[in-house]
Amino acid sequence: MSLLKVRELAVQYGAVAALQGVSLDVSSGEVVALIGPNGAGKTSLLSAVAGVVRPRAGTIGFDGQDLVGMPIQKIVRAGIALVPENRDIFTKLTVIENLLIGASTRNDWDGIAQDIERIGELFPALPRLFPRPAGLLSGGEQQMLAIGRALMSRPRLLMLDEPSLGLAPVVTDAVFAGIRTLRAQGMAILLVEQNAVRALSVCDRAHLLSAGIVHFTGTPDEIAHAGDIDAAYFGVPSDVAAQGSA
Amino acid sequence: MDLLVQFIIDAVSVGGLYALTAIGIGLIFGVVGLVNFAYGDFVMIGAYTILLTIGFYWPVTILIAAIVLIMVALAADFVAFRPVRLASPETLMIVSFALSYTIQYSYVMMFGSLARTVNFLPAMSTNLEILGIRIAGVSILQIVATIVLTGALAAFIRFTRIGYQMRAVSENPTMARLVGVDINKVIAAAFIASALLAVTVSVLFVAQTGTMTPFLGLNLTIIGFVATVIGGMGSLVGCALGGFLVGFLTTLLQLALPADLQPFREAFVFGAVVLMLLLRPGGLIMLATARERI
Ligand SMILES: Nc1ncnc2c1ncn2[C@@H]1O[C@H](COP(=O)(O)OP(=O)(O)OP(=O)(O)O)[C@@H](O)[C@H]1O
Ligand SMILES: [Mg+2]
Repeated sequence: MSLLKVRELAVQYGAVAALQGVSLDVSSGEVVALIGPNGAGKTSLLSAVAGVVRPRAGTIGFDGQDLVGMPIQKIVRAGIALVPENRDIFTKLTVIENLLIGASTRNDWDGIAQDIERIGELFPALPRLFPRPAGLLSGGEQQMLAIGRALMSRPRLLMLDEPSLGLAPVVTDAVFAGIRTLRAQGMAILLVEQNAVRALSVCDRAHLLSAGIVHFTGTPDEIAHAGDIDAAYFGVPSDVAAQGSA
Repeated sequence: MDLLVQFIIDAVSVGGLYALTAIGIGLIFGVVGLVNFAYGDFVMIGAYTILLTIGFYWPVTILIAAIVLIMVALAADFVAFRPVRLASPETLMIVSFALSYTIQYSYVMMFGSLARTVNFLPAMSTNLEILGIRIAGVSILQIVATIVLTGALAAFIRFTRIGYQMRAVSENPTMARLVGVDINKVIAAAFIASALLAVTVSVLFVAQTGTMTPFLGLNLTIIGFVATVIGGMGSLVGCALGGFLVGFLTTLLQLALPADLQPFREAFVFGAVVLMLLLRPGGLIMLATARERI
């Protein structure tokens, strides 16, 4: 049973057609990757699901509800959380306030306290930073905080937009370790990445998106062995893709 | 010596009134991105509410004025500002001008444009002798009110859930919505806080001057706006300091200017402000974190 069901989604900015009829599904407990070059429309897809941009056409179903036209806050309540491309943590708030504000739709304070503890276990670098203004964190710490903040709404679908962007490999390791833990806990994740190797190493299925169209869908294995994928077209050398699935 | 102390007390009490006005304007600017030119008219509505309810025991009068202003501020948000929430700052500003004129001229229709006088909190206009210095009760009230309200507001923003939500909306409204913050609730809270500041200014203004016209808000808005600009449109602390600076300048010029130049006092105040902004275009308080608005 698919949790998120996107059908023939089209997003348009003025004359720019960012998405031209994209369909994809994410089932409960599944990690789906969306891979593609700059300008492919990856962020546009997440923005449409989160309610930040209104699609020109198509449907977005989540757990039986139609998300198109729903106010952002209701989408969050429905169980979707977005970790945006540039993280957008609140730099003037402390780290702990950033986590607390992630729970804005909730009032179960015991549960909120437990979740803060859980996030501390997921990213052990965070707890000692709690009292600090979030603007002083390093890029990696900010990424972990942004993921933690998103988890505070107890989402059923977590959407991550390029979590490895601008991070050193070691730091990316820590972030992806967290993503793996979440996956093991059964969190449904829609992961946008340009770093195909990383994405293929954690996902159940991947979609290759380019110029607003999904060109290929499959498991990491299938993608690795599909000889007809134009490597340059997707910015994914096929040997690298093969490594990713290993 | 006495003269100096007297001057400082005057400057601080006038400055306090301006600081409260500036904070009320700065708070709404910070959270909503709106320069509310109708803010002074809220103060005017408060003053006329005091005029109309002067027969009651004074805390009741203040309570009624507070309730009226909260409702006016919330209605202004709901009717005038919410429909243009996502519009450009210029549009918002023009909407606030329209609101300001609507309020002013509906009060002219109801009360005429002549000054009304009222004797509110007469005990406050008596002078107290403290350490041989005569201080008007109103001055003390102004200073105390400024400290208490600024402190309460700062604590509210710093320590409550709505408080950090306000700071988040101020920094990144879209992201705030993406984490589930109810933006309209946060903005309503900011309008309520600004209404409470406005009613305080109404009370102090009426207690001090005992007179009002439907146009009294205009001057306050301009002073409050100038104070927020001086503060760097930055933190609320900047707004408060800007208010005190304008109060200090006004009081100083009142002492220093020869009598025949007194009518032009405001011209000198604003001239000084223009000069200062030429020297420091970013405002007095150049926050290292320049984007912070509340
Ligand atoms: N707000 C906007 N206004 C106009 N055009 C936009 C806007 N946002 C995105 N676009 C355009 O839509 C297309 C898809 O952009 P999108 O950000 O979805 O791509 P992306 O796959 O996330 O790229 P990247 O990997 O660089 O983040 C691009 O051509 C982009 O220039
Ligand atoms: Mg993107």
